[in-house]
Amino acid sequence: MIFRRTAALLLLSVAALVSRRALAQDLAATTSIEKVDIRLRYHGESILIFGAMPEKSDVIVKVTSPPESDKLNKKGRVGIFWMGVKMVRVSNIPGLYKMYTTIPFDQIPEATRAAYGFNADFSEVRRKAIFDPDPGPDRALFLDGLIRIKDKGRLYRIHQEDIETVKGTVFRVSMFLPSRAPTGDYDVTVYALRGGRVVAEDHGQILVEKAGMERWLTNLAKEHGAVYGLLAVSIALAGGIGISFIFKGGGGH
Amino acid sequence: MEIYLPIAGMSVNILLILCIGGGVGFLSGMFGVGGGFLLTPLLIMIGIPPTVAAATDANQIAAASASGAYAHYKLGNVDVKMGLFLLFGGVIGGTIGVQVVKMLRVLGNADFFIKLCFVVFLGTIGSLMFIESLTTIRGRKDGKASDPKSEWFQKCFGNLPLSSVFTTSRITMCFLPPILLGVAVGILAAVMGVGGGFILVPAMVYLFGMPTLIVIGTSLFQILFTTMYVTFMQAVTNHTVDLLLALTLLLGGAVGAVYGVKVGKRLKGEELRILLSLIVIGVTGFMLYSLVSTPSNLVSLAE
Repeated sequence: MIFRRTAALLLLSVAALVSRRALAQDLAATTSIEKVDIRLRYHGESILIFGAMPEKSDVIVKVTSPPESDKLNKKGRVGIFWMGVKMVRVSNIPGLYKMYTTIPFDQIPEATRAAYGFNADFSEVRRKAIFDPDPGPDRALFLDGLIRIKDKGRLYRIHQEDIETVKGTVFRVSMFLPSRAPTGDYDVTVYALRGGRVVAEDHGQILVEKAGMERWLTNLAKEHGAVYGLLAVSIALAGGIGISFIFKGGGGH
Repeated sequence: MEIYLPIAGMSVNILLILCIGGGVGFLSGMFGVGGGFLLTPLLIMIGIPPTVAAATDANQIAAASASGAYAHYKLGNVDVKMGLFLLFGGVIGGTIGVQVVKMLRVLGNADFFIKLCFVVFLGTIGSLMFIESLTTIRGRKDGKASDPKSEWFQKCFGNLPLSSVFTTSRITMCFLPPILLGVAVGILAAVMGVGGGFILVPAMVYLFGMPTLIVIGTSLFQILFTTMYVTFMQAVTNHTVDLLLALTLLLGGAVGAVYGVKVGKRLKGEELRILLSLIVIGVTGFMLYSLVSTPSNLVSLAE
């Protein structure tokens, strides 16, 4: 039911967009949600990215979250044990990176692919990553490992030929935002390709943030650690003793 | 049913967390251990970031041990005097331990050394406890007397100066060994992120010769205060305590602990110890395996 409603909304929006934003060679994209509120029952969100596309074109949708940094450990064999043998900090890495296409990458000329990072191996992430200290020949190994970790968390995904098109003028794709995805301002970039060249680009944003109690608790933890700590300890004491009282009172024995 | 954990930054199934809390709480009430050595790995296994898992763990153990310690206190199983001496040492040890952790982090590979600590300490204590309780159970059947080595330790501690009477435990001994034990446990608690019950329990049973039930009550009492201190410090310095996760674990844990105490009362001391030793040996084996088996991904997130 939600889907049918969204589809109706989609047609209306597309009609509106096409008339209003015919500038970018008829490429106009939008998202079903512009702001994701993380509340108590939040467990990820499916976001529809859709719009009008130029006729006889191909579409690529890219969603990225703000750059982050991570500490990575490379494990090696020391005696009988596997332990960290090299530690680096990698920065300028998006917490989430997803790409969807209407065509397989091998139908796009190499020059375009290299310029825009239209590759199944997250070439854009690899190129932009900044390491400290420089891992030298281990750079690719660290990036492979990091991408595997992100893939496991459903944060890094590339879906070729996964965008639905309607009559070659409307496209839509559903992106799943896992609960683990970071908060922040996400960039949505939509490219239209014709003859192997990018002929139009449209940009959008999705704001992912904590709301209500989730936001209150996070702020308290970050800004008033002592108050938060006392709260945690009091709840533990009251809860632990309180529950044992309830059980003594109710259950006999 | 899913809930979103604000500090861990992910959603989890609430039933899964209740079950984990309940299971660990049950063991906690039964054996007088905090269960940290089980809870932290379990939380990491379901995807909670390790730093959040360790800090939240302390909070949950505080709740479970409050419940257990209270139940044991009412049954007259807490030697408050012994607990205070242990606690005094624990604060000193904890402060030293925090510095040790800082040093390990600078040297890198802190995680590896912490795991290795687990394997060495848990492995040794688990095996010793297993052998001892098995001997006791067999000895009971053959009508043999208790272990002469334990009696030698108890005689030694009894003959040291600064002797003090521990009425609840029905022993008289110098108060320095309890303080030193507290220091050792405090260091390990800070380094390994656990309450230290798995060291306190056998030490009080074998070295001090205290009755097993009093040991369990007193250990819970000491763990309660240690984990309250650790929770507070983690909240202030690292901001890694997840209240919602702790609260859910607490609900399961406190209920589990109440039943654990009840079941524990029905079992004999050596039966409790052989069960605990089997669990400890199992966890040690699992950790050792994770240190020597080839990792599926050579790269891991640090901290």
